[in-house]
Amino acid sequence: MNRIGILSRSDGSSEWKQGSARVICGVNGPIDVKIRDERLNKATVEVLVQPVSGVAETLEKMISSRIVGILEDAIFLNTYPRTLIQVSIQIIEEDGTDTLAAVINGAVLALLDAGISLKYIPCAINCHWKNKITQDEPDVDGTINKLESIITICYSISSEPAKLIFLETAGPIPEEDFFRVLETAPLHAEEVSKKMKELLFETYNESDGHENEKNPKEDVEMDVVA
Amino acid sequence: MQLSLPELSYTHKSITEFEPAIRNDGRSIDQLRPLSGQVDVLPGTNGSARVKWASSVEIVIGVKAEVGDATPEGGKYVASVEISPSVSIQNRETDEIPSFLTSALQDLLNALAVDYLKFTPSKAWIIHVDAVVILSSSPYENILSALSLAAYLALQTTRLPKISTPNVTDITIGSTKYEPSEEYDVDSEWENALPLQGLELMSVIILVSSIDQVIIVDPTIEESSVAQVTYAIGVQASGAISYTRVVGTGGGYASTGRAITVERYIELLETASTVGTKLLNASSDILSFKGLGFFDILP
Repeated sequence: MNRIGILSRSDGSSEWKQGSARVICGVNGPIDVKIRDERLNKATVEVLVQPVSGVAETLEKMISSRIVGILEDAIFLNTYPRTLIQVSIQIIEEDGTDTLAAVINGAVLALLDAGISLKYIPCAINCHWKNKITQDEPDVDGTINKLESIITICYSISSEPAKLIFLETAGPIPEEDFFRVLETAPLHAEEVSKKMKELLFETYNESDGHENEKNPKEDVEMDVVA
Repeated sequence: MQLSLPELSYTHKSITEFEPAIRNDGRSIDQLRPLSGQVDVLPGTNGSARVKWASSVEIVIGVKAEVGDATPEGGKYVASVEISPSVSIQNRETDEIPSFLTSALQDLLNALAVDYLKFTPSKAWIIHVDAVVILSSSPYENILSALSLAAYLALQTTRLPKISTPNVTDITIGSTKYEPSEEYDVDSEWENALPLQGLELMSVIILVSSIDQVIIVDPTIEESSVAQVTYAIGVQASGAISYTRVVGTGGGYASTGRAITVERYIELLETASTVGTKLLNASSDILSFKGLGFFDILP
């Protein structure tokens, strides 16, 4: 189940499931930043990743450093000088194969929900290789057993054609299959991007309609006051 | 390392506005820094190597084999990277840099065959590849190239003691089934020791950066700072790609950010493949100079 705006105390939040991974992301920001982390001309991005159980360890630190690289490039940092944009990610389910793509997409949705300005929308997919290439969709449950290789690819979907932001492979993969992935992956990224956009439209259209039905007078009064 | 805007501008323009590009250390765009290596440097190991990458990175690797419990696949390779306290205080296992390097090395080792390391139904060779970074003035991603090359050389020199096992398969006598024997003998004669198999799948990591329309190999700190993106790409001796990862943040200086086209990415792969193959071919020459001190791999 993919949702946004699920945390009441965050500026933006999302729940995102992709393959075998499910994450909840919360964004707080722009908020005050510690003086030692302050940058005079742009915002500081901090990503905290919490595992399914236990405390964050090395693997989570490595995931967060990769996410920071992607988000710092996507956010208009100069719009928010001397502030902090804090992204907190809680992994709910994972088996280690789809985590990175799910975390990227969940974080981006939460940023959009928080109203943070983005230059483009990063969109990540996973390709699993086991003698043949299969791309998962965010709603597909389960994963392939005994994966030989996993490729995580992140595209900038807003640009024409989709541009590559991030690509990571784990395990060997034949070259011809790898190039085949690069050809077909943008289409799958587009599909994931569509799902993200649909989710945003549904959520905001629902909430607008709901508020108007519930308190039409209040809305009018507020308009008058404004 | 924070660079001023004039420094960044100078580095960027000298690479993008001249043909051929001018790099601040005088190299051509597809040239690696000078590197030298030495094999069989550590006593008491099954294999070892030391690699010095320019004057910025030096790494020593020791390979130690022990008999352990077999995995379903056979034996296994276990990577470990430590950073000498003289280089950095980030030396605990929980710190990000040693962990990043360990996971990168482990990814390269995971490509190697492990089935032949099993010699009885429950016993196999466990091969520990332990690295120590003893000198580094580079950002940590630049250590990757030296680390992968040192691992490649150390594994090439590694020898495993010959093991003989009774040639008994599953047999059934009457209603009793006899399992294959768990007995084995280790040959203590070092002359009979056997090399590792399938090392053609071991990769060396090449760093390639995209700076506007120019692709440069083995970027310096300044060049990484003005690059759109820097990829660490693992290249096997055949030229096949086995590992790719974005390193460094990149995109900060370039107006285009870190997004590149797929065609551009394929160019990065091809460049890395060419350079990596050359490097592996050049490095194989020093394997015949065991224990004789440093030899230039690429002058």
